[in-house]
Amino acid sequence: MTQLPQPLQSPTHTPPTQHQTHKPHPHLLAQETWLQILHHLDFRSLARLSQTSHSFATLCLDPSLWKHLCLLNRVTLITDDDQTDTTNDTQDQSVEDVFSLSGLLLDNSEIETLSGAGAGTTEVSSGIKKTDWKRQFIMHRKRVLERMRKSRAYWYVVHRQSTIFFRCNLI
Amino acid sequence: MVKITSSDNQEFTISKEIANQSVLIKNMLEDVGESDDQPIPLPNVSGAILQKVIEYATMHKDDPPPAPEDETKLKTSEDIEERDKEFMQLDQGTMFEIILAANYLDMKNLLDLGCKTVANMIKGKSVEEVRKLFNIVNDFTPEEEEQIRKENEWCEDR
Repeated sequence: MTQLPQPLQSPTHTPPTQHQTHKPHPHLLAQETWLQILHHLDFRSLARLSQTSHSFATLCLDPSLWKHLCLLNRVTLITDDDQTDTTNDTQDQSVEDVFSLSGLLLDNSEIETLSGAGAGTTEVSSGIKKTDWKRQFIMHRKRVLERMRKSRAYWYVVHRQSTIFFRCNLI
Repeated sequence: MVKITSSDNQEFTISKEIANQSVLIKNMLEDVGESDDQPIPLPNVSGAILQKVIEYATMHKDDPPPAPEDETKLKTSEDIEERDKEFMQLDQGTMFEIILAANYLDMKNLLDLGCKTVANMIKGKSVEEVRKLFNIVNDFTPEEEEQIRKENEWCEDR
């Protein structure tokens, strides 16, 4: 079994201490095994892990991971008609690049159910639309937070009004 | 009984029901037939790790056969049996070796357990904590690090 070479150490890297030397290098496990591990992660842990190094950043972009999270959270896919682009273009570009590299093809049933989804889909040369699952998930997350903020604001107003009403009665 | 040998030439004799938990050994046994007395070489697994794997297989030898693969069932890392949790209380090196062995021996349950355990170690940790956990070398330039932090800012919103 060949082991991947250790990546070059960055200047900021501190030499390993006695304790750290016992730890195996993450590259010991194959990429497929790492993907299997990452399938058990929630979105926040996944997004944090992607900030640790180049190799993990690439691994964490794997569409299957975000598709799994979308299914787990029952994310409704958003079409172009429903919502205009909310994420910045540079990020889109990088995600699209990874998609075209990974060459992931959806099976027929998925294409049928997703054929309406415009935003977050990428037109590939074969004419099959691919869903950008990570973008769909980020949009979903923004919608959830927006809903939570609105409901918090609503209850704040209700609370204020009832307090004013209560004070008026006292006077 | 089935004989297996590790990469460092340690020989183990195990019962057939334990051996059959590894799809690799099961297939090998079917290929060579019952009568063959030769030990099965497992050049990818060391004796120490094989010992742990046999311990796991013995613990699970009375488990009901796994349910047919359900595609719609989504994975969670929460459902680990207590005895499995105890079994996985190992140093990280051994844990990775067991995952590698489970992958090689084609033992789905053990591989799943290993993956879940590693996932649970990552969960809830900060970027720096995860780096420390797996000895991940930060190979980003400060500019790249800032950019990727911005790209992932959304995940910290609550």
